[in-house]
This record gives sequence, C-alpha cells and structure tokens, in this order.
Amino acid sequence: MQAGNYSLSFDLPIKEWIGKKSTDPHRRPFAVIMKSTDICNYACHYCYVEKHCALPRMPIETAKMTINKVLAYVNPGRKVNFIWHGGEPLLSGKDFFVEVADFCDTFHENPIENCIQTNGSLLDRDFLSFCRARGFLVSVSIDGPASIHDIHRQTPQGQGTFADTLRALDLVREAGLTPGCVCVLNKANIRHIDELYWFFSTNKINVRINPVVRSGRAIAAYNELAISALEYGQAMCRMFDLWFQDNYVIQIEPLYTILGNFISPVVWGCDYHGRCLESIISVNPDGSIYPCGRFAGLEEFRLGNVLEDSDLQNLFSTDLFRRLTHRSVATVSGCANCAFAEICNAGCMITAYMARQSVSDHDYYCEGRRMLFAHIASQLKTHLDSISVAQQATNR
Amino acid sequence: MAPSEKLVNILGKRVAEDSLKGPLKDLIEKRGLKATLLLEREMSEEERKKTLLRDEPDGGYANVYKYAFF
Repeated sequence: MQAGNYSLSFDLPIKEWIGKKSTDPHRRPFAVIMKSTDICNYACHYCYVEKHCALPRMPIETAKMTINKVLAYVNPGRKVNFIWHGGEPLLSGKDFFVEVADFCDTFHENPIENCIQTNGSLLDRDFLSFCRARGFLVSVSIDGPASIHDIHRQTPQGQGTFADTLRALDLVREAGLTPGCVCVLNKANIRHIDELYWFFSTNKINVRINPVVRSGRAIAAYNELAISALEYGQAMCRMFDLWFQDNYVIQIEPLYTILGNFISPVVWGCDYHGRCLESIISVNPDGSIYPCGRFAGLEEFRLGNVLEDSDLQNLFSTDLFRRLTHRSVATVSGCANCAFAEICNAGCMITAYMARQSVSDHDYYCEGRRMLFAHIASQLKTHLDSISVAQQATNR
Repeated sequence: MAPSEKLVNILGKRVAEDSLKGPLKDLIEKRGLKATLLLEREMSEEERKKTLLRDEPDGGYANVYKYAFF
C-alpha cells in the first residue's frame, strides 16, 4: 500500500477541542432508500444485494403508496430524499420514474429530492434529459481505473464493465448533471490508494468511498474481498492527505463530512450521528420496510410493510425499533471513553451485525475510524496553526 | 493582512478565511457556518442576517449520498 505509517495515538486535548455536538434527527432530511428492483444486469462480486424478494420489481402502486405514507409521516417543511436503488433501479424503466416524478409533484408541503444510484449501463440521453428536467440526481458505481474496477464489477458473463461505466459518466456530464459516484473499498483496490485518488481527481469524479460490508453476495467471497479495520484506517488517512493537499479538486466522502463534523456544531452522515434510524428507512420491491438498505431482506430486521401498515409512526414504536435505537455510545463497549464519541456516536450497527451478528457490538471498522479521526484532527490543527492570526497583529 | 480579509474562528484559531484549505472554505459556505464563525466586528448587519446557521445539508453536495450514507 502507498500509505504511510499512521498511528492511533495523538496528543491533542481532543475531547475538549471537538466540544459538544448536536445530532437532532428532526432537523435532518428524511431519506427513503427505494429498492425499485431486486435484480441486476451486473454480477459484482461484493454486491450486498442478493435476490431475496419474491417480487423482483416494485410496482408503481407500491412506490406511490410509500411516497404517500412518507409524506404523511414527516412534518411539513422537512426535506424528503428518495434514493432509488436496487439491484439496478433503471431496470424499472423510464415510465416508472416519470410516474414517480409526476406523483411527487402533487405534494407541496415538503421539498422532495429524487436520486438514482445506478451501475450506469442503461443510462441514455433520453433518460438523462428526463433526470435533468425533473431534478433527479444520478450517482454511478465505479471502483477506480479499469485495472481495478474490472476485478469485481463484472457482467454475469465475467466481462469487465469499466468502459460502459465511463461512458455513462460522460453521458451524465453531457446532460448537464454533476454525477456522484460510489467506490467500494476492498482487497483489490485498497493497496492502490494513490492510483485511486489520482484517477478520481484527474477525471473530476466526486466520490463516496464505502468499505466492503460482509453481506449478500459478499459473504461467499469475503476472503477475497475483506479488509481489516486497520487497513481501512491507513488507506483513508492516505486518501485524506492526498485530497487535503490537492486544492480541493473533487469532493470525497466521508472525508468531507468528517472534516465538517470537526468544525461544525452539527454532526452529519448516518455513519456518524448515531441516530440514523430516525431519519432513514429502506423499502423493498414488495413493500417490506427495513431500517436501512443493508438490512434489506433480513427477516429479523423487517419493520413492516407499506401495503399492510397504515401509518409509518407505528413502525417507530415497535420493540424491534426500540431495541435497535437502544444502541448508543452509552451501550456499546468502549465508546463512552472514546475521545471521538461526539463525532462518531458508535458508528454503524450494520458493520457490527455483519461481522459479529450483534448490533450491540462496536463498528467493525472502529479501529480504522479512530485512526482516521485522529489523523484528520492532527492535520487540521497543523493547518490552522500554520495560518492563525495572532491577536496583536489584528489589532494593529 | 489586507483590510478586506475576513477573519474566522475555527476551533479556537483566528484565521483569514482565504488562507484556509479548499475543503474548509467550502464547508464554511455549505454548512452555513459564517454566522457562528465570522467575527462579529467583521460582519455587516446585512451579512449577519443572511448567514443564519443551517442544520441540514443544502443542495451544494454533488453526491447522491449527501443525506444517507450506507
């Protein structure tokens, strides 16, 4: 790996420096992960989605009922973000999304934003023209340059998909949209952090980097995919250094969010504010509701079904929901004394569950997260020290 | 320091906003932090009114996962 020797240790009075943060979920947009399909035309090795729903495509009636119930649940004025996901959501076809857009336009009390996370293979100018006209954001999955991307992102016939993905990104830009991207950090690309950074930077690709999660298809191939918490931390520290020194050419998540959480009084990002369950749900094609997309299909985490439950509020008062929301800095071992508790809030319960089958355990990437937080704190302090203005100077 | 430079206070450090690294300058803008960060005497009344603290992401995030990260 082209990563340096990063350390977990730091000598800042970090807790005092970070201070007290707000995590109020009701001042945050409400996000709904809409799995419009449970099928895909690709067969990426680490996909966390497996065919687990009897209904492969979400009927438009289910989509409308979900939109209706979500808008009835949230307070007026609160922004609602529908993230169309899959499988491959574009297998639902353009007409499906036109109906969605038309239906959303009938609601006037809440700002609504629609986003599509796609592998890009089915994007064309006509669909992107619709996205542009109706305000749909588009994000494409890409793991780096061809030599890296094609290792795990393949068609069912085993063909690499890089060329088609890059073509899709070009089309998105040509349509006047700014594409977002998701890159899954796994064993194949984690040793090429410099190469990854320069690829995204050179191609002006804003990217969110997600570590691989042991779920779905990734369970069977986990030995070939898995990265340790320490490897994650080292890789992300290196990525931060490259990004922070490079005059902000692209936006990289979660680095941007973490940096913002250090300097802002409000913590953003479901991985960090610890109250994700109060502002996110995921809906499967058959209407089943789960606390998050990563729980989709796991029966023990099924909160209900939009077709059966009349009111979303009921889902948030079930024993299951209470058990899940009980997880906090106070209940997860080791979190209470952590210097970064205010900007981590015990991390993601899904990585804990997938690693050790317990949502009460600490985030699988905990050690790497602490390393990254410490590194960012140190770099931030060095930067601020180097440009700080002495009081005497400003008084002259 | 030029008189037109804006001073901000980040984590206890008084710094010239223009000297900050790009991501920090952008964060101040995107998270609507000017009201809390900009030193009072540097702000006009009009500027103070405009820069109310925001508690949620705005449209400046060029990524689908600006609200829900998973």
